[in-house]
Amino acid sequence: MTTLKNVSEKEIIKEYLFENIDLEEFEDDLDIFESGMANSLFAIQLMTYLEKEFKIQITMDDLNIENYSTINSITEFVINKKNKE
Amino acid sequence: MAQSHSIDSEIKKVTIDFNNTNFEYNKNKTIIQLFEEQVERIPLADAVICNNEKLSYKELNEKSNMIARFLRAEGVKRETIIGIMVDRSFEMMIGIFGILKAGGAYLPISIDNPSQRKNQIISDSKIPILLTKSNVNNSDISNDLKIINLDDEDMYIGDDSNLPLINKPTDIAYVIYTSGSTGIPKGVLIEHYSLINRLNWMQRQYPISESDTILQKTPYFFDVSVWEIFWWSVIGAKVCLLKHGYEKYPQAIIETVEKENVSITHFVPSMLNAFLNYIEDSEHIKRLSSLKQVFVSGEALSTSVVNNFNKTLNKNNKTKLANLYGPTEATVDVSYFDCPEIESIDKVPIGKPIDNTSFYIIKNDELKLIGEEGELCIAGDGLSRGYLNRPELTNEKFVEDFKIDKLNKEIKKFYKTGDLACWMPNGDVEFLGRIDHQVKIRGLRIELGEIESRIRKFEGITDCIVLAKNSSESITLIYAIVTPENLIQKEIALYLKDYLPQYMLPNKYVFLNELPLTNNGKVNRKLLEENC
Repeated sequence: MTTLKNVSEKEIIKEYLFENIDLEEFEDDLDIFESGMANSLFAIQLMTYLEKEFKIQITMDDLNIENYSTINSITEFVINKKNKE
Repeated sequence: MAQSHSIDSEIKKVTIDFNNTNFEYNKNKTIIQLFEEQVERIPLADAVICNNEKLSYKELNEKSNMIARFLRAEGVKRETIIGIMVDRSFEMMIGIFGILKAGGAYLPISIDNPSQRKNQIISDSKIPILLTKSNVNNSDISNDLKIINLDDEDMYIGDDSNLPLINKPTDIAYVIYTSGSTGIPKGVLIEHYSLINRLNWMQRQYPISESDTILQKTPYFFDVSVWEIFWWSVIGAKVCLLKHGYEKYPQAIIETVEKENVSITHFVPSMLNAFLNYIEDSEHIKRLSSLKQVFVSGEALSTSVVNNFNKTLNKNNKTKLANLYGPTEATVDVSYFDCPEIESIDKVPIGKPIDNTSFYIIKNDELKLIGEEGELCIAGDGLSRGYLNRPELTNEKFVEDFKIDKLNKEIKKFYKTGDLACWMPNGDVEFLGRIDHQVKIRGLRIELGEIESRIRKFEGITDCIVLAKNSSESITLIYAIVTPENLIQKEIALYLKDYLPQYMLPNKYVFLNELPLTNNGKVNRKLLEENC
């Protein structure tokens, strides 16, 4: 059950990133900021989306850019956050 | 005859009426004198707030006096340029005030700069002393200069009284480096009276009092930070330092504004846009109710951002929005436009010149009238003395003794901004674009030529063109188009990382055998732009 849920979250995040970042190859662990394809403004856009889509609240303690830098880390962050709330 | 009369009256309008900005200010003082008057008046009032800790006016004054005494003992004199390389912290404020109290001018250096760029700025400016902190890595500083840690307790001993004043108001107060099209950044020299004029105008136009708190969130190596760092200190208000690096996050800004009752803050328009999208339809707006005034500058402000601001912060909190404009070479900002709160507008002008500032719009050495496009040239008390150790560049950008035909008037000195603009009938100025290849990415001023000339220095590269292109609302990508075809991208990228700050690094590389040319033999930038 959990696995299925995770897959769907990952798929939603993937789809959002594919739609909003101009990148040809896109591995699950590619760092979108390190690779230069996204910047701090996109990070805000992404956080805005994540809060609305997954009904989570990102606080000052969550402001570590690593939480938002790969498909895997974003998925993990969202799932952890949802479990806590 | 009648026609020439109307042209004459229009020339008078754009040169005199629209530039009617004379206003008295403390032209015979330095910024430090104005601060020390406040220390005398309200010594125990809070001055600086940082991570739940506070410094009073008296504490900031005494600590910076001790740093200043140390610097004078090290030989610092009037106009000695002293580097400072710290994170946003009490030490940043103490260091800056200490340098000024010693009589010197401060040169802020980013702790995140690659080592080559740090060293480039240090050797170009020939600073004898660098103030830093123990948490900042300075092992990559190769120059022979004295390094002082501002968090070393031994610095804060001895006489903490005010030092005798050695400066004149025409001495330089700070040096800020901006991107240079020939490959090396250039230092802009700003004098005390220019800074005081700028602050005095701001206080007149948007008065603050002892109950106000300014958020200091702009990195101190951009000149927007200058009013955040000094305005409160000459009024008796407070400054709150946002945690270092957290200026990128709306959550941190909201939390800090709410907790410290911040009333004044600044955004770059693209950041304001992202911020407003974040707070939309949420509890966040309530948490921002202490904000009275938001300033934007650094990029063109779009009407959609103004409308979004009005629907959120203005409607709920009565917060006001002002659009400021200005190059580093003319002391932070030279014009202002108060955004309308109710009626919608179809464009956002950069507004009218501030106190003791005049605008001239010039094309082919001819003065342009209302509605006519030309280069915006700035005259007045905000003008920089010029670029540090660059007399040729200074002469090129700062024009002296310009005669206006038909008006028997001479402009003593003006700065050519490279911005295209025109007068609107009501005396506002509209920004129309750039003459050259300077771009703004998230408000950061970038000369594409600087990136190009740095890439050209890489072995094996025969030519290079750098372009900036928006790939989405929030992402602008830098493209490097490089010849010949058989080069390795990773090696070039690695090399550039040593010289350019993160925001100037190309996001994409395109390798070609040769660059496409136009009919008259110039590189066809347009074609390249379309194909990227």
